[in-house]
Amino acid sequence: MPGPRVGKTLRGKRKRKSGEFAVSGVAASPGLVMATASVISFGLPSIPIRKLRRNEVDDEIKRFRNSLTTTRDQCLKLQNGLKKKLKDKTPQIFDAHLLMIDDTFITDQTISLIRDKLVGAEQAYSITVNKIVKVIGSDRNDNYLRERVADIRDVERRVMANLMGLTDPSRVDLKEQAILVAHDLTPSQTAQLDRKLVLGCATDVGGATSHTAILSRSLEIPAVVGLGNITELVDTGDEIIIDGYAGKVIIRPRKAEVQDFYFKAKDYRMIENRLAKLRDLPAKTVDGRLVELSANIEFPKEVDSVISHGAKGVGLFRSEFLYLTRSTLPTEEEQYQAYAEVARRLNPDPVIIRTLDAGADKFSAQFQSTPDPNPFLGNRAIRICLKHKDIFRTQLRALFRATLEGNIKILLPFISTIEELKKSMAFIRKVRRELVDEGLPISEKVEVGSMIEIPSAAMMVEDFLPFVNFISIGTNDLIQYLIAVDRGNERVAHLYEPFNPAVIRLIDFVITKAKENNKWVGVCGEMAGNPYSALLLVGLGVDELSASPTSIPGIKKIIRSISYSHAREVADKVLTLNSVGRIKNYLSQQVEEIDKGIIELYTE
Amino acid sequence: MLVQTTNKFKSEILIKKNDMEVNAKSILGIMMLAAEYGSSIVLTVSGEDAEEALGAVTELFERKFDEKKKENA
Repeated sequence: MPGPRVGKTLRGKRKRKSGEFAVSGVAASPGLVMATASVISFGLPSIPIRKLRRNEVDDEIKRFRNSLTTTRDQCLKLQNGLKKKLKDKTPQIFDAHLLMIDDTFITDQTISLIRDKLVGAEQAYSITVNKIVKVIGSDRNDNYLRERVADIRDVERRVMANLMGLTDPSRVDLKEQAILVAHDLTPSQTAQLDRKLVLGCATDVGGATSHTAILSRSLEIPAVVGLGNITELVDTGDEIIIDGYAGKVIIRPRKAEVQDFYFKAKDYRMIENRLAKLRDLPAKTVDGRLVELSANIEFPKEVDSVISHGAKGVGLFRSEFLYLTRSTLPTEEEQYQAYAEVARRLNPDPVIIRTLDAGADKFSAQFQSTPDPNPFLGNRAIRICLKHKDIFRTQLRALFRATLEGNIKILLPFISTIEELKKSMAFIRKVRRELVDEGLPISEKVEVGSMIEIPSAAMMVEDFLPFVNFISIGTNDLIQYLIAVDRGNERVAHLYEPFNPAVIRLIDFVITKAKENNKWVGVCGEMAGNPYSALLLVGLGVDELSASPTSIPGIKKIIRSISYSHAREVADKVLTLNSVGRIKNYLSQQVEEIDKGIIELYTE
Repeated sequence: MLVQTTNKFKSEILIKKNDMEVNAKSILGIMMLAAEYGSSIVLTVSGEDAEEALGAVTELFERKFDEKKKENA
């Protein structure tokens, strides 16, 4: 992406080819690792720099034109594929792409660079694209042009991949173990990461709740994001250290740092081993209150990690990833297999599966031809599902069929009004009846719940409760919508604050209303996985905390070290405080008294 | 929309704003002009179907591209 990159980094410093230094970013996924860096630009290897001989020029131009033809064919194929899927709408998504592939401005400029400056096609094309992006992308406020820049970059990626003879431009191809350094990783790239080869991730952009962060955590790959310009500071082949606890990257460490690394790694391992002993113990306070501690997952294969970290079931199974790593929609059978596998392996523990939360930052392209001007306030999740009922039906059928395999509950994302909730519930009943009429066996009772992640839903929660079996507070979205901060925008991500008193008071309101009406209430955002906020949430009276598997042991340790009555006192006190600073100070004192080691893991 | 129209013709169609001149058949060229509503531009058309091309493009400008929103270029 063009334009200035802002982050807590050494902005403006020139690239140093040697010498050690450290860069701070956002701690995205815990872990400490030292390895060789592999810098990827847009998921492609670096551009080959060649000086052509005169007699090679014609062939090079021909090669360039061929790559354009291939790219055009690929885009047409993708477009046709989409056409078949979306019967009600002809996809225009690749129209802009196609115009850009054939654009005379870009082809003329590239060809004249090849001819006059004798540079290779890859370099010539890259220079031309960068020149165009610099002009077009200079107006940061123009959403339309910004999206076209994204289109140009996407076309560039495809053309480059074709020039270099690579198959899939979104593919991350590592030959040996390395730490991945990238400007940003798309969700589909992160989803493809091979845990055996990728030892860590460091990216220029992103925040603690960006998808790179969430996915890295679920794949248990240490990651630091929001580093500003790490891709410019590191070269492929450099030795780097990723400290996913402290959010630090050390580039080309000296002997002293390497030694320090080994000491620290030993410390972390000791603390983690201590926490691992808690695996088979219940998450019960000293005065006997049991808090359900479950895990957030994206992939069925993560069940191993759920079990090994001692979580009881899954509090949030994000179903998007069934849709994400592919260009076609998943069939009922494929979805059934995924849901059934997770339910079967964790039975009798509950598995709460969230229905498709597409849109916002996740692949809206499959559902609409033009991107939303403001995706986070746009066509997303239940809004898409209620419009594309065929997609919703397929998922619900798979979910109902899988209910026989274990303890599956259905969770509806992004409900903002009572009408949406009623409409969704009616459709769920309808699909259920269809299955019964077809004679397919399903569980007698399947619980359905609503996410509370939009402030309007939180305010109306008391009126929602009669229609649902349970609610789950999605803190990531609730926070960003309540305090108007885009958590993925690194320029304002520092304002994203779970300990904002307004957030805490609204969560208290929701939990209080749920308890008054005897409804089960869980929390499935990142707040549930942070020791400070977990302590607070337990005190506020939640029934369940659902967090990434790796943070489960630390949270369990907290719960097992406190009494519920003390946690309630802490929560009552926090509700009287009116600033982030005071709340954090107070909570950190409280957690410190419980266990020093846990804080060391999370802060520096 | 402009690019789709100009590409129907064989003539060379150039658009000039201030000192920058671009090919009107290039969507990227036109974006680089960054011509907002109300800015003045100079259109140069040359070729066998110049008359028709000029007519079509002028009409498009007069109809204000049938656009209310900025969504379809």
